[in-house]
Amino acid sequence: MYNFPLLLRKLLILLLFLVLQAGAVILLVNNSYFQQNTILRTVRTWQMNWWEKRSSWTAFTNLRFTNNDLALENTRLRTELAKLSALENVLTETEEGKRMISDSFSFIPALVIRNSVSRQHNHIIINKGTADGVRPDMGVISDRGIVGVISHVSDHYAMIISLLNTEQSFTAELLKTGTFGTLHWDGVHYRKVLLSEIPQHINFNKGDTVVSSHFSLIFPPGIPIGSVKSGSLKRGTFLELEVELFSDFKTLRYVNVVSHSGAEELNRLTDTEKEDVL
Amino acid sequence: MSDTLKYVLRFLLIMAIQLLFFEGLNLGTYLYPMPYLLFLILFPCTYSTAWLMLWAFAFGVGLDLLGTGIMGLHTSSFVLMAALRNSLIKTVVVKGDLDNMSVPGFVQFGNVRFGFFVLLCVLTHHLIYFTLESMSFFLFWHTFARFLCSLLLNVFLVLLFKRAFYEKRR
Repeated sequence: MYNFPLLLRKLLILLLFLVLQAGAVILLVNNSYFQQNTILRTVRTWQMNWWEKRSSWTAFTNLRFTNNDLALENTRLRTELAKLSALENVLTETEEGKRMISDSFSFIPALVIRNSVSRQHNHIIINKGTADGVRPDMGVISDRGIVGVISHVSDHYAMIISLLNTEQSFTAELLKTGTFGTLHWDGVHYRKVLLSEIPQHINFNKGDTVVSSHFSLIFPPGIPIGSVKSGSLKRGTFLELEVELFSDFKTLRYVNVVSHSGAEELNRLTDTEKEDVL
Repeated sequence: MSDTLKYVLRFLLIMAIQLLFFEGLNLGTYLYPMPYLLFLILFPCTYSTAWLMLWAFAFGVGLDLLGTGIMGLHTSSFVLMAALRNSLIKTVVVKGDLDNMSVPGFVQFGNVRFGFFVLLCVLTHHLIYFTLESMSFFLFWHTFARFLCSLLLNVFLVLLFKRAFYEKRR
């Protein structure tokens, strides 16, 4: 290589640079590349073991706050249980009621073993996988609101696209009026997300609760997400509300994967609709 | 120990430290520790740019695959840094001094010049990294603040690690 004239050598180096950069850009554009990689599975397993150890230490230091959260959660659940069992008695008397109860959500408890809040594209890894019934596209909630959606699953672990990921958005609605909009993160602060596409005639107050939408296939309806801090008109057409999250993603530890028994059937239904349109 | 073997071991060591320790460190939105940039700085001054870029590509792909960020970010910015590294050395060092220098370092360049060299290297890397990560100039000041804070942190970290682990005792 050193026998080449200088100019030719410089050109070759430039060419190599362009080829390598092209490779990088292809990786950047084609994100699914890493799903197809099977070598990753082994490496991930090692990483998980390490992260699990690390995470058990941080969990220990956060124990006080976690206990507090759990106590609150217990109270809330007990109240809800009381309400629901009363309702169930009424409902099971009719055929329609029985069907509604079977078509409901169930939860798989999981432990967060890796989490980040400081990137623009944050991911969370939990210690439940296919073996425990976790599938891609399932929703994940914590006791303080929604957490994200499952992206990849291995046998014993699953990766979640966090709500704190600028490429992910969810449907959410204002509890008071039932108006729904798109909930997404702008990448700035880990306690603040934006609820956009709210029609401008809707009145909102500071402190209004934002909950998960009734139209969502991945989250149960009515899960509290955060409270409205402020709002402004965007592009003269829609309101964009700044929402302060109830959950603190930095101390996230216990989560629940939501499995919706009707989701597969509903997805099939919407898929056939798409095919018909095409 | 042959040089190539030394580089491979260094590759693995720095990659492991970055992945197992620094990737898991949450220092907030504004600080992203990337001391792995030291990997390219440690190559000899006369090392060919082509090989530097290939090392950088391999390292970047490894980091992108095994880390949890989006693909290609580290690869792209690290390859650019590799492409410019040798030119940066020539900019920083007094002409003619280069012949009797083995590797970039505090002793060889002088403290100020070496610091400046590291600053330029990290700057090229971070410019591409944060531009690609945000993919838009929509939140310009936010991205800029992240860029600036991480720049200062990483220049500090690279200099610190260089001084602590890769400087010959005098």
